Amino acid sequence: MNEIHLWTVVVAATCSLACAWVGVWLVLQRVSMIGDAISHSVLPGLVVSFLMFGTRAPWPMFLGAAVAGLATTYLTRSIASATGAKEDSSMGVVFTVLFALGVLLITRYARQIDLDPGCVLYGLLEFVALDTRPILGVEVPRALETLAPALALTGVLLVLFRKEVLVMAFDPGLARTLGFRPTAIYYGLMALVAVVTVASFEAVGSILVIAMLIGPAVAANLWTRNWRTMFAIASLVAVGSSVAGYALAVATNTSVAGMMAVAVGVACGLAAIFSPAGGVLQRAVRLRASRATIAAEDLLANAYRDLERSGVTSLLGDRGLVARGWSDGAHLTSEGLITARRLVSGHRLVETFLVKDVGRSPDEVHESAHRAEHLLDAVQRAELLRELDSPVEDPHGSPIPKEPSA
Amino acid sequence: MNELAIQVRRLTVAYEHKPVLFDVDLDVPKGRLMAIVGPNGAGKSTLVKAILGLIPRVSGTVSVFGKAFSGVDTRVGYVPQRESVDWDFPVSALDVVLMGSYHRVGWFRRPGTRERDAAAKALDEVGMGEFANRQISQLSGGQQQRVFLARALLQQADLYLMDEPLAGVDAATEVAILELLRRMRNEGKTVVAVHHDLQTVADYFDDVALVNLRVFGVGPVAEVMTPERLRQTYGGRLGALETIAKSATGAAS
Repeated sequence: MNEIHLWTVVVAATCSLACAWVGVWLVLQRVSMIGDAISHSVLPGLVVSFLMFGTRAPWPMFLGAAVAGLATTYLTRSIASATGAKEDSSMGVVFTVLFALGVLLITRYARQIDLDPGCVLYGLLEFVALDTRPILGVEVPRALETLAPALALTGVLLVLFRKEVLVMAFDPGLARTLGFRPTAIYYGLMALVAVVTVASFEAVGSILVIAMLIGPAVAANLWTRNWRTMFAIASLVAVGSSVAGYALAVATNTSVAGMMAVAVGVACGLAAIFSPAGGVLQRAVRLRASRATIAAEDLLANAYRDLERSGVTSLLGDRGLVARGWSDGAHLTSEGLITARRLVSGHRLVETFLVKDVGRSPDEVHESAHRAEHLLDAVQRAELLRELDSPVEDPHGSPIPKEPSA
Repeated sequence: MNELAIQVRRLTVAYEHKPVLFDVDLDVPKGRLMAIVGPNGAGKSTLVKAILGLIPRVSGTVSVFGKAFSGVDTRVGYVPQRESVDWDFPVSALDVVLMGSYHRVGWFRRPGTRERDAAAKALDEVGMGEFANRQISQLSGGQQQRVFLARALLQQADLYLMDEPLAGVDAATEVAILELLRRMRNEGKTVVAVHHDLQTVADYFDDVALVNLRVFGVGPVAEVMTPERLRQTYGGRLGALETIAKSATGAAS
């Protein structure tokens, strides 16, 4: 494989992974859009740290970003609680003002910083592999000098504090009474989001940062109901879309970052459709199955009523025989007969209940009973029977079939 | 008199300048099962949260087991209202129960085999053993409430504050939960629960606190649930309240 291709994919994957890991926690806490806010509001933090330290080395930059991330979170929360405004409105004001402040700082004090709109939006992933520096004799892209520490920091912190972050995200009240500091943990997480965002910025720009923060986590959340598995799936989506996005971009000669964002979107789409945990497809299959069951049950219950009218059911039912000679020549097996009795019994019990205990008129209870008969289980039918003192007939005078005692 | 588990003095709590609790005193003796009752919006949950330090107090003091309480004490367990958390969160019942051991596990460490066994046992105790690996959104409301209680058991606290542990659960769960609360009390633990159903206070609890902005009475159910006090707490609607008060004082005597 061509070395340039390889390094570009490595840079993209490093960045996507770091974003995906913090992103899972953003999505789980339903604060996805704070990623968007922080990716903009880090700008003044970066400028100030550049002015103070005079360098674009990773750690001073991380520091500036973390401070800006904390400021965004703090201002968003305190403006919301002080004014009674919703947090999203407060966030909208805070991050745009901070971003504007960053732009003003640049134009006033740091004209020499190159701020190319294209670079801010889409990043320069196409060129990262060209800007290299030898490390242990290997030419390594400079972008990794920022991204690798950011990824390592994210991984280490999220593993070390996994239970603290989990309890903060799920139940801050409990976290607090257990002696953890949920607010401090939340702020720490937001500072980490800021660091990851800034580290990813140069390579992939602000749009892909948001796509990568949120997309893999959303796909994972659609796919599984287990938070540990979510991290595995989000990582897979992150790396997968880096490879696929790059390959597609090279093939079509378009923006790598753009293609990666598209790949993440496709992954979310696929998860929404094919997820085994409530995907569109699975729900459609289940709906069909339950429709088929209901139709079959209706047919059975009606067959039973036909038999009842011809006066042969008690004989057949009590002996557990196969019911033959039903009007049009069809047969009810003994198993079918048991199911049918169960349904009709449920139906008539519900009718009795609605008339006796709820006080509805016998004329208006059929529809409700017709729906309920498919939902009742054996325990509920037994409870109804007990509650109603084992009635023999329903309000329309039809006998309530006894259920075979298992 | 028994030593106090909780002592609240002159507690005032306000949301946006409107007091929700005003100048409240409350003594909870050790080893009792106490209900906090009062009409909707009376400040019952607020009282629990203020005791726990989850919301700021405007004034007043709270002491727990004789010491000033800032909200953190491993001897105090909290069971929040079921609606207070996101049940779509991708964790299993066992994961949630395990959270009750987090304060004992220590920084940077994960719950180990010992904690997992204890969590499984706590789930068994609330009759949820077979649901350990079930994702919490797939549990019924009553089952979710039991998971919360199993988590409280794992905390091994001496004092529990519970916000509506019996709200929205089916009859069987209500009985099971109540049995559990009584067992905790018999083991010497103190349980304070916000409760919404006046009818069952006398049957279920030893003590009651009548709360509506202020505390209108605290103590054994039979002494506190008088028509006069209930009228003060609930306002109007005297007829129904008298019946309840009669059955409460009658049941205890």
